Amino acid sequence: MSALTFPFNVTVSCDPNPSTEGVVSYSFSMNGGAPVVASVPSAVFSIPSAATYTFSVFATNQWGDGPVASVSASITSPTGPKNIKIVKN
Amino acid sequence: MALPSTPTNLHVVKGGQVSTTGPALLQPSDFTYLGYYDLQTAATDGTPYMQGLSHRYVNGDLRLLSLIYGVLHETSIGSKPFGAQITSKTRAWGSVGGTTNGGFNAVWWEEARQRLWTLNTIDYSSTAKQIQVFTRTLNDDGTVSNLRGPIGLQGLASKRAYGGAQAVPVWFQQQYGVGPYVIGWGGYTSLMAQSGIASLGLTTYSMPDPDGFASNTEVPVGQYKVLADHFKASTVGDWYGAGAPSGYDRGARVTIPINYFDGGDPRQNPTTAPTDPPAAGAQWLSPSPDGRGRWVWGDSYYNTGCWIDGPNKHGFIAVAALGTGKCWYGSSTLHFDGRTAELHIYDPAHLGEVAQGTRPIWNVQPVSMTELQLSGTYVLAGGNTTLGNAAGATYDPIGKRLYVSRCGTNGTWQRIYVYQVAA
Repeated sequence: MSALTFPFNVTVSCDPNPSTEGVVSYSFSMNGGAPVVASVPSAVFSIPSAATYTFSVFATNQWGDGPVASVSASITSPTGPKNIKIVKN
Repeated sequence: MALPSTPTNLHVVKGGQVSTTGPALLQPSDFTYLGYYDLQTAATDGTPYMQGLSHRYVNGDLRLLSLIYGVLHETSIGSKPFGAQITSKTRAWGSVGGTTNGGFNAVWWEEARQRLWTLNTIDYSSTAKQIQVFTRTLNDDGTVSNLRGPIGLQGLASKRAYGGAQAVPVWFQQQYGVGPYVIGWGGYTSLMAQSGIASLGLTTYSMPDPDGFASNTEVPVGQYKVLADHFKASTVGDWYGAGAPSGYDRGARVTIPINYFDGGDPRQNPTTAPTDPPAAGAQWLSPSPDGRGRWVWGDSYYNTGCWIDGPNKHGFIAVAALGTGKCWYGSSTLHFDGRTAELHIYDPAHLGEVAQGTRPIWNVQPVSMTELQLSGTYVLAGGNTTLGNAAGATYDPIGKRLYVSRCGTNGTWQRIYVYQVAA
């Protein structure tokens, strides 16, 4: 992986929920900040500096919001995202 | 049916590309806030009613164009640092014509043709008025020439297209068979369900060059195309009981208002804010069954629509001015606990699908949305007004910067918020 300079973007993605669930949107957030609501299971966040970031996502269908999935990433320069782990509720 | 399951395989990768074919769709993270400028622009009575924002280059110098009713102010940013208070205008046109003092005015400078577009609507009108597209040349001596208009779109009223105009990328024109310009954007007006019906959600109409039409005429049906329109939802109750929209919808938003406008307050024209939750049977409450908020009275895109078509990212974006907290009717006008702004990003492909007839006109919603954190205090005005709202935006493809304007910031300033766009 090439050296990084801040800020840079990361893409946070998850697998699409089963089509039978009728998901209409995915809400992504970084460190509990303002959600990015997208119709696709992917969103891009700008990383301002080296730190550990927690990204979260939940799916929404006509019945409401589903459970949250989270992933923590320790992002350091110059080698990029590290120590990614998935944490489910 | 039940709630969706927990998303799986959540992962993070370096880079911002979310599509491998053609320019990716813009995401909120592509907009990096840089700083602001404060402009001293006010109407003749001293009130800071900015009603439109565009820009142009003059000898390589970026000039912001603020329309305040019929007066156009041109302000050079020059090399001023962010945070600067700019108290002198570079130039002004005392009357550009084709504007109204009783409603909303939008402005767009067409760099390619060196002409100024305006659109307007009367806010409170019991009769439908045709769309008001005007164009003119700006002369250096503060006058205008070649004033043309109004030109409308047959069957559509001005209250559905008071947000402005933009050029359509050539690739989009060719791929979807639409004209070279779009107008529209959508938002609340008084007498929302009458006199042409306002759209509480995005409107977008493609049209040919207005130069091909005489003033006081309309582009016939068949020579323009509807790319988005939410007007029907202004005349009916919500779709929530059906579980999903099937024939109409209001615009979506990420913030969640408490909507008393649509049957939520049983009192008739009260003088105080409601204290009880919205009444049983209230319509268009937020969140809707899909988890998103829905527009309420007073929500509008005003003059903020921008078609961004960069080599790496693209999208049609608009900044929504929205009521927050309790939103209610009383003392014969609109009231809100607060106002906020959201960046909404639309996928041009959705507009194209409507043009091709494969997507209904009401089913165009933002693909992504985020609330903007605008610095400074703002005037919280009742009623339906641009004052205190993010009511103008213009995108400069040369500097790849988005300028968002909110008048009535920290008193009487027109604050220009500047974002770098990774387009």
